[in-house]
Amino acid sequence: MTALLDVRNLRVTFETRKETIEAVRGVSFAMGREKLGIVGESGSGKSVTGRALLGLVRPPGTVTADQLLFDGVELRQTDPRHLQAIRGRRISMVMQDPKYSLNPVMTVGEQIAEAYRIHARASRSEARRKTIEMLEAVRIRRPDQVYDTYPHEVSGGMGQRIMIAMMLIPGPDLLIADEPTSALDVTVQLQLLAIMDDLVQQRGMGLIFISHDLNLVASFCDRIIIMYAGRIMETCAAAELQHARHPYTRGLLHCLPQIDTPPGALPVLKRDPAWQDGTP
Amino acid sequence: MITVSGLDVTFGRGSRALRAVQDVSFEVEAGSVYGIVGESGSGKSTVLNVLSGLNRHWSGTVTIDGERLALQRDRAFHKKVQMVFQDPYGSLHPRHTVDRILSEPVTIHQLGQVETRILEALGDVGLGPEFRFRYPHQLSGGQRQRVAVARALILEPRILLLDEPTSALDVSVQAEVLNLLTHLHQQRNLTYIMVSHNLAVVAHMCRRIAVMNRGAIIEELSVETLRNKCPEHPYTRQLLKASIGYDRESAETLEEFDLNE
Repeated sequence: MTALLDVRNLRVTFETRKETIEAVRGVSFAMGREKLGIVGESGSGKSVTGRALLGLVRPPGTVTADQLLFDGVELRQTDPRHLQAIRGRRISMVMQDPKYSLNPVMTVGEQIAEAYRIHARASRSEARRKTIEMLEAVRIRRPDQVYDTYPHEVSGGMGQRIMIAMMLIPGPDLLIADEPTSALDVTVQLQLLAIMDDLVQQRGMGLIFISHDLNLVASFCDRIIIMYAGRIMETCAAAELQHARHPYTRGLLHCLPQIDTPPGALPVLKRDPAWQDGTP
Repeated sequence: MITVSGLDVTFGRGSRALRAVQDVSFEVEAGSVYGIVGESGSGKSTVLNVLSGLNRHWSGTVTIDGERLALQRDRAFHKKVQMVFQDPYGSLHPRHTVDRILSEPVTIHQLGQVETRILEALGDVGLGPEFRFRYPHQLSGGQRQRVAVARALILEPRILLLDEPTSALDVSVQAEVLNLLTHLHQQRNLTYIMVSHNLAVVAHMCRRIAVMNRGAIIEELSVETLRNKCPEHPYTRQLLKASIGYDRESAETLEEFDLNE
């Protein structure tokens, strides 16, 4: 099997007046059409990794890699125009908060239709029909009514479904979801994950699911990458997470309060400076 | 002992009125930790805002140690009841040093010995004296939340209202802050009312737990019942299931729970 995405030695650095911050320091992984989770705490470089894949890291940030191979195309050498054809159409991204990702002065239907028309060169009526189909696919009731609403009129869960509809309408091969459900209630989160799960399976897409929630990722994804300080600490099958070997992963698992364990002091994560230069 | 009975809060008026809290009643024993869980919009934070005096548009009866609370609170009340907010990035003044943040309540309440109190409060939350003249932006999220706890504790209150005190923090930092809160509770025999959307956090901290949905308490249960995963109300059971993790099948069985059904 050829990998859908093959990343070798990805590095992202931010040059500031005072210092150079290395946000991602040599990340390598390959994935097929599967659900891959990237887990880490704030500052671990998980979001920057996702953005770097799409070329969304802005100056002063710089991205280098030995290889960024997407479905046989080397993304690093692709000129901006070709990259534009891949970005959005073949790789798309859902961000954490729909409130900041949707255009507030455009109806949600128009926004989704726009995403379709840019990539598919369809007529207005065709785009509208496709959009309503897509809204149905993310299980929005009365899609023709929702088409004409503005982002401020919909709830957080609905907004995130709209985002997902918009990202999936060009039919991408890879979806990068950066904390897509972190701002939502647990029941809404569950519904949204089920929608993404079904769509990924039906369309045979790859999914990179970036999250801080270790247990959620373990129950949702096929494989998990655990990041710390810009490096990959460990990669494991989601089902094997409980048997993770790296002390950081184990520390993260242990410091979570559990519903069914009696109270007592929670074990506190002791960070080992060696992890910073750490093992892959 | 804190008692709340028949608490009602309505936002807006006329046809646009929203009853955010509807006939909420509960009791909290002195020295215990009481939890309120619910999803967004359930009214859990509004209840806390009424208790702390931040919301003055409510009806019902709230008593603390037998004394009935008025809409307007006096200084003695704030000496006894303090609050810690969710977001330590928003609840500390960005242009005040830790020293100024901590000295303000002491000055307002004219307690004197500002310096010793500040150093003591910092020590209590596990921060050294070197943090005293720092600004919030020079602190990590966990350190900020410790400062927020120190600011609440510096008046030596009996009751601490905690509004999602760890949900803006990383899990490793959350463990530290929860341990700190547990330690302070045991050491000082404080009473906590803790609001959270995270069942695991509430199960870890609280002895009794109220579950809120659409403005009402739909179930009050002991932590043992929660731990054994046998709550009575279907809404609580659904919340519990959804908290455990992703499961394709349980996503299919989710129901809407409305008060009027």
